[in-house]
Amino acid sequence: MAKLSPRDIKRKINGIKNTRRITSAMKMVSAAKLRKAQNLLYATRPYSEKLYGLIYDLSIYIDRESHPLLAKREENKIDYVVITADRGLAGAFNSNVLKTVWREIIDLKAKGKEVNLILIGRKAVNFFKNKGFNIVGAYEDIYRTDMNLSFTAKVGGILASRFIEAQTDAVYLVNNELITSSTYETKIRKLLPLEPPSTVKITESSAVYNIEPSKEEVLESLLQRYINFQLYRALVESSTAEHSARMIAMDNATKNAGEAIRKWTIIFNKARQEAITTELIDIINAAEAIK
Amino acid sequence: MYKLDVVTPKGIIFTGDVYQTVITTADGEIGILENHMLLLTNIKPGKLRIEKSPTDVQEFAVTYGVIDVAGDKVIALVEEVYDLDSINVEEEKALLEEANQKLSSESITDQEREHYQKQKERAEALINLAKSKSS
Repeated sequence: MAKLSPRDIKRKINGIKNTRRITSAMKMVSAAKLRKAQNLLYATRPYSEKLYGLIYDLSIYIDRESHPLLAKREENKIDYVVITADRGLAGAFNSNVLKTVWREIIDLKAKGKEVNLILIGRKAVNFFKNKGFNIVGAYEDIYRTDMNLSFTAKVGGILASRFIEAQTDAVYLVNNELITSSTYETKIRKLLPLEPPSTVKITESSAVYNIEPSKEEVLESLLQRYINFQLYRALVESSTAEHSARMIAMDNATKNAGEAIRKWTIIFNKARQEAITTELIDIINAAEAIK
Repeated sequence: MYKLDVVTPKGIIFTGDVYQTVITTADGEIGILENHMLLLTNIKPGKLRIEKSPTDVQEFAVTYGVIDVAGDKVIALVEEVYDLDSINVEEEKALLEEANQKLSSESITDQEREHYQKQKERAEALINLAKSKSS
């Protein structure tokens, strides 16, 4: 390493201090956002339980094989819904998802399957741009403004109708999920065809329950709601994991910056002492010479 | 009295014993008293009126959902719930405008038509409810 003057070292230390200030602020912001996202995630639970319960109940009254959203076909055309964050600086958060999807796609293409992509999050959109894949939908900036059911209803509607029209045989969701408050995992989940609860015996449909306008229509709307809700939940899961990942990444960055500052301060002190010693030697030498 | 749960993906809005619930379904407004016949039906955008007693009444605006009426237990699963005075009329008007524009254009898929039809229905219902509150 070229020898740095004490002034250069000082400048470097100040630079690192500024970086540390930023990373530590980002950590705080992520911590606050994480709490918010976690609350949103916990709030989905009662809905999810009740919705699942209703589908379960209704599936008793209905011939489950008949519904197009439940149809099992050989998986030749596959849709992937890839959920990443819009922004980086969160460790391997985005690249984990992208790598997982990439491996799956290469694998499936080698087997001669057709793969289509629905991309949610800027990192996914940018990654798959110009790579020659068939992209059905690309959505950015949804976490800030649109993380609501009108967005998931739109995407859910597209997925359901693609499935019903046999443009795709299966739809998978890929997103990160928080396992503990500090670790996340990339999960691949099958969204379509929906797997109805299999333990239910089909009994004679009972006449007591009034289902309006018709069983089929109510089931249809329940299933569509279920798809939309799964998407919504995946988005909330992903954003919770994102904030957690960013918080940890920024925590590490802050610690590393502190470590670097400590190291450079020692170097700075040494360099300063060296300069003083040199000057002292000069002065003493000069004084000796005069005698 | 019976137990009513109103749940959205963003949390539980209401849970407790009520005397009557009035809600908009595909066939129009229905009132649900104790021992209502077993019913499972779709909810349409409109008013949700929860009467804990004839004098203790709460009103909300709801959008799409399903309601399950089963004896002494009623569950309403809805996408969104608003207090009547917290509806953003300007935003809803913009959504309605957008939906009308899309619906009148020629190049639109069935799927988009359905989506914007719903958007229109939802915005209209919310705007009307906001008006009825302020007038």
